[in-house]
Amino acid sequence: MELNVELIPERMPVVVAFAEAAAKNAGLAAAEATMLALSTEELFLALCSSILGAGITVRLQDRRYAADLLFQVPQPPDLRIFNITSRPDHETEAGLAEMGLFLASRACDQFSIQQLALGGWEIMLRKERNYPAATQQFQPLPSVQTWQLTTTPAPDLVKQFSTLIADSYAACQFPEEFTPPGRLLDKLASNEYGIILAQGEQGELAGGLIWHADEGRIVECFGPYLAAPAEPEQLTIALCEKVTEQFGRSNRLGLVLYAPQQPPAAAGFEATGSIVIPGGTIWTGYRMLAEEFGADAAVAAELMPFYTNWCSSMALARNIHPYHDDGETGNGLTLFATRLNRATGMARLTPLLVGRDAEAVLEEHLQLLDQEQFSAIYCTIDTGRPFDSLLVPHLLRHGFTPRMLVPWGGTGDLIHLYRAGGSQ
Amino acid sequence: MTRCNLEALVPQYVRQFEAYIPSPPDDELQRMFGCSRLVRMNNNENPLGPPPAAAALLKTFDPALVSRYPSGDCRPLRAKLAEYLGVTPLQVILGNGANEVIAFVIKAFCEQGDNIVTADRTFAVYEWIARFSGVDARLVPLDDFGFDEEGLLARVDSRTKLVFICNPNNPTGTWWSKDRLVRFMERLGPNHIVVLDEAYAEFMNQPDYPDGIALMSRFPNLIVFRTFSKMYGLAGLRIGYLVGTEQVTDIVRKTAIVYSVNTLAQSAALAALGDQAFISATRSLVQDGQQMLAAQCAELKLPILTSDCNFAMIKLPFSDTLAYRLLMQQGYMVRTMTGFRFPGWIRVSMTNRDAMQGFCTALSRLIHSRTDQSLLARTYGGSL
Repeated sequence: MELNVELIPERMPVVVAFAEAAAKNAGLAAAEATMLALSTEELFLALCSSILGAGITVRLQDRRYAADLLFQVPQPPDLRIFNITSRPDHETEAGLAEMGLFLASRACDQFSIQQLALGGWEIMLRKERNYPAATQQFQPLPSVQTWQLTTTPAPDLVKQFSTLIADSYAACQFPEEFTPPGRLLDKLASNEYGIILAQGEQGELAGGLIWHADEGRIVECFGPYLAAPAEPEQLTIALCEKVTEQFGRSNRLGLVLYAPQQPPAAAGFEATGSIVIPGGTIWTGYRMLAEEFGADAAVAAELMPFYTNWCSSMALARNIHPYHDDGETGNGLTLFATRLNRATGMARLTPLLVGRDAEAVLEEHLQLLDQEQFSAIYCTIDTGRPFDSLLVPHLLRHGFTPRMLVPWGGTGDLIHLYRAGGSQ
Repeated sequence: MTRCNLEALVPQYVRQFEAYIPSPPDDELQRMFGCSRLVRMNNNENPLGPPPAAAALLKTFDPALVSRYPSGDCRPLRAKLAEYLGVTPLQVILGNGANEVIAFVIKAFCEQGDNIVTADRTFAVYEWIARFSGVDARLVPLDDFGFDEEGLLARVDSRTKLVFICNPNNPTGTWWSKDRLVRFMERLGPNHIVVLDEAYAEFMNQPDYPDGIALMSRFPNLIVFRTFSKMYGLAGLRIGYLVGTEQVTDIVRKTAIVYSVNTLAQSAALAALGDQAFISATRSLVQDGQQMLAAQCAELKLPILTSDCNFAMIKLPFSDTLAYRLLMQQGYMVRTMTGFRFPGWIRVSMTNRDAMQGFCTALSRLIHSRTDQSLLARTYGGSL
């Protein structure tokens, strides 16, 4: 479904009606469709105030577990308003538009903006479906002696796996989208996620692993989550090798594993530290898929010990350029993409643009996140984007510490910095 | 400036395809990894270089010939190859490396909607060329590291134009005997072309190893690929060829690019062909290397797949891509097997004795230092 209109307030009812119809068409319940329509209304008005009269294309992408409304505009709107902290200002018309956007971002589950490679900008509003809670608990099974792996399991086995995760692992050890079972099945059907399950001779569940591949160069893997295998280490290795094999001959450069426990080295993942999630800590590992030829890396002086230590440990070939702020002109403004997980209290900031207002914009974000009681905040710096380094002194000053390195995770390597909520 | 709408121009199957990035030159790699020398053990090259006659020709090659076009269809070389192989010149088509003749064959026989059938863990170029030509590549899992006859037959259907069999298989070195190949051809029937990639045929020293060309009179749907890159040490000149029945090559010739094999390559191949003393010396070097590597792996308790070929596969107790980086720091470049869907394995090309010994030492050092866990994991554990 697609709609082309002009960005003028008079067209707003048409766009809202389109959004609501599209949402219902994608299977959202009435309440969710209304929330998406409300977000659409606020976004449309904010865009009208920013680039009045421009053409806009609105498209629905049905992800099965969610409906995405994609708004394509030919020219950049005022990007400042897309920072989640853009303060509602009741005094001016522009301020009211920003306030609307503030509301829009809260009525939907994901709100993002990106510049398209082939021109134009795209703003995305995502509203996820609601699913009923699991009705059954995982029934413990006798120890499985031998198993077979499947990448196309029957829906019932997937449902069992979802309840196994929910009932046997702490909430911090798996992403919330793996439960309830209906949501996991829809995530798998979207093709953004995949699953590898191990079954015993009688078809009983022995364990499994879930991967998530978005448009980037890294695949995120979660698990292995095991039922009762006789040889857990062997099953862990088999599941890790299988996912590596699946992406071995692909355009992906690496796998990042989020695991409840550290797998054996034979599983092929290199330890990359641990990450703190409200409620606990999870082990992370990295598996490079391609042969390394080396790369240039721009790194802030403050992160140099962390980065060089990891490069040395992981045998990464890097031409490291210490990046100093010599007052050169950068981007005009700072823009963060923010991902919030209210269920776990985790927030992730990714700088899209870093400008001279970086410190002020960061402070605003942190104040808001603290206020809304996010207890774990991550920020990601890309060594392939030199201007990201400008942000580093501000991050460290505000209590962030480097935790994890993901080689080739972005344009260059990604450094994840962590800050406990409320810390300075 | 008007923007070109590339999205609309590029076919979906090309858009999805990721370009292959070859390794940078040695000096760049040495600088990046901080090693003073680099021994390439990743491309199955012949460390002896080309045979003496070809080496002599290259030294005395007349530069004046470079300003002229080469023989467009490699006529003198085809004549010599035909005589050497016992076929007619019309049965031989040369290309700029065997990769190019793979493309000739796929273009000649396949259109969108057709498919090729091959193994999942074999030379990648059949799969790549098929996919970026809009042709489905059906991949059959290997059985005990070898091509699976039953699995291949099960995936063949009426739209299957080509079945690619790498014999011996790169990277496992496994091979089908003559009996097995004949049985497969009989069961498959005449309605599909079987491409037998014999890039490593000259290394094989097994009485039961089949000569695909000799079977063509019985199975006219056979095409055989061979190359001058491996045994004959001419990888840098890019020259390979296919042999088929005249009826088959008449068709493939329609999609073959003429003038793609340069004069130097044609001349060197003419000089190199059939040098039995050189082939024996190479086989001997390979055998020594395989024995040395097998002994080292036995000592380190590492599973190894050896064969007559000039490469071996080794299973490591940790990531192959990590091993690659650590070996690069020591000046040894191997091929990681994750890209071949064998995670945790490396493929090592045989080279001269000194370099093989150096590699064995580097491998031993690597295994002893990394079998436990990385330094940082030990230092920081889960608390970093």
